[in-house]
Amino acid sequence: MKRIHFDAHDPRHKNGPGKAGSGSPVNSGAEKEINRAIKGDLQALHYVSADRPIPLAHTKNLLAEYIRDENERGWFMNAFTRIGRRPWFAGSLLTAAIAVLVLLVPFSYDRTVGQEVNLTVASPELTQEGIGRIANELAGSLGANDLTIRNAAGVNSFVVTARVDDRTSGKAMRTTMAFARALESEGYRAEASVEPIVERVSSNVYAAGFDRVCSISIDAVGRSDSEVEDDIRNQLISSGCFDNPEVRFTRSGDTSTITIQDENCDVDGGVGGFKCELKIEGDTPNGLEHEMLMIEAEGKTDAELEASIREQLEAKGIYDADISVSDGKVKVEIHKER
Amino acid sequence: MLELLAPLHDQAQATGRRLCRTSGEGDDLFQESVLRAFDKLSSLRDESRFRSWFYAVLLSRHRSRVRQGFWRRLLPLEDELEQGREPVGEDGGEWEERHLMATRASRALATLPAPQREAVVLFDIDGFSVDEVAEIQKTSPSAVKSRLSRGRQKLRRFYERLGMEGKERHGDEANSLRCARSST
Repeated sequence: MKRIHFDAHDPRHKNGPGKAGSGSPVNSGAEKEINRAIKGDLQALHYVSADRPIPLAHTKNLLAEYIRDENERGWFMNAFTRIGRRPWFAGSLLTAAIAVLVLLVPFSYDRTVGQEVNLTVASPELTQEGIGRIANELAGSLGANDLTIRNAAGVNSFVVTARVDDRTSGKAMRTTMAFARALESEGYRAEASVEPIVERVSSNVYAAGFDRVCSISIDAVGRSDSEVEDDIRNQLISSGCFDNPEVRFTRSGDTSTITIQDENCDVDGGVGGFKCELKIEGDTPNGLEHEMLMIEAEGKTDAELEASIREQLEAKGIYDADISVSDGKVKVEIHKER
Repeated sequence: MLELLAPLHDQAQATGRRLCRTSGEGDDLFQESVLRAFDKLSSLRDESRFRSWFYAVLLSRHRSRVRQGFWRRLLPLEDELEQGREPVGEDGGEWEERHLMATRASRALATLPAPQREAVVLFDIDGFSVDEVAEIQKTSPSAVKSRLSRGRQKLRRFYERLGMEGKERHGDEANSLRCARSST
């Protein structure tokens, strides 16, 4: 007769009876009865479960059928079936497939595809031929591929509109401003503006990610602090990286400081917004171009963040930067010979 | 593989039934384990350890079924009588009583987490030693002892509750401990 082991003894205590879960002694009458009942039931389960077993011949047939099915299915279906038997593997495979789809399947987003340069020129002596010559010079300077001239409000006033393919506004802004200053020095009244041309495009996540690098061009010569701030703010908004950034531009001696802050910026996972401070030592910025690297910092350690910044800088040909990251605060010093 | 399986065929099949709530589920578990063991046979290095290896496969499939089939708990327990197994001869009454007790034990075991249930079944019913259970469960003997202790505590609590319910129902044969006591 099969002997069922179950008793009140805790297998961890070899000497004598153990204790029940409540800590009470197990030799009370009620507990003895329960232990006896459990023992009896387990013994009954032992007999019942061993009753009328499936014959070994049946298992043999099962195996034979299984082998036959495997041979008939071929390697592809067998692999598919084996994957199906491992839910964790199938889940991982599905997740990977979804990730690839998300990265490769196109979706629509706004992208800056070029810059529209508007130069308003007015002068009492300005003729059609004269504005034509100015427009051609501007187009040549910008490398514009589309040029239109129209009359503006006022006598002898024209608006030259040029379209350039640059995704960033820096070069176009610098060239146009310099062109406008040159015209003013010749006695013309000139006003320039550069607006990004934004189009809805369809592309994948990779392409969208590359679009999030934004550049700003700082030209502070002959302009007030507030004008420079407006200029930088417009460039940041047109880059698509910021919705409503707060920009402060201050000059102190040889050092110019630009502070950019946007509480709603989704860089760094949208936690705590975005804030950065650029210090430019030396002469007043004149056509200085800054490219901002938008690095996903959430979930990265300081070392990983530093490595990521260094990698992106090196990709841009900057190898001698001093980078320090401590508690998520980033300090980058780039030594550039003038 | 059949040569290796033959000596423990019936015993492992019975273990499958003990781990599950019904004989049908237990048979399915055993057959799945046989096929899985066949697939993984190349990983068996020492044929003398086939017994513990096969039981480890059985427990692996059991855990997998527990994870996948939580909805099974919502299904009613099958009555062995409905499966065409009927009491025979003069021992019909004893047969029925034994099946009621076995059903109650299955219900009690079903309340345990899978590792505790396996430990109780392998040690208390199948007669494996603590070291053997530890090898099959791929854990330490102390962990097995802990599982046994906790599993038994839970079983006792289940029976305590059952006893109280039985008293409240005044003679509910399926749930009271009366038949268990009288059989011992």
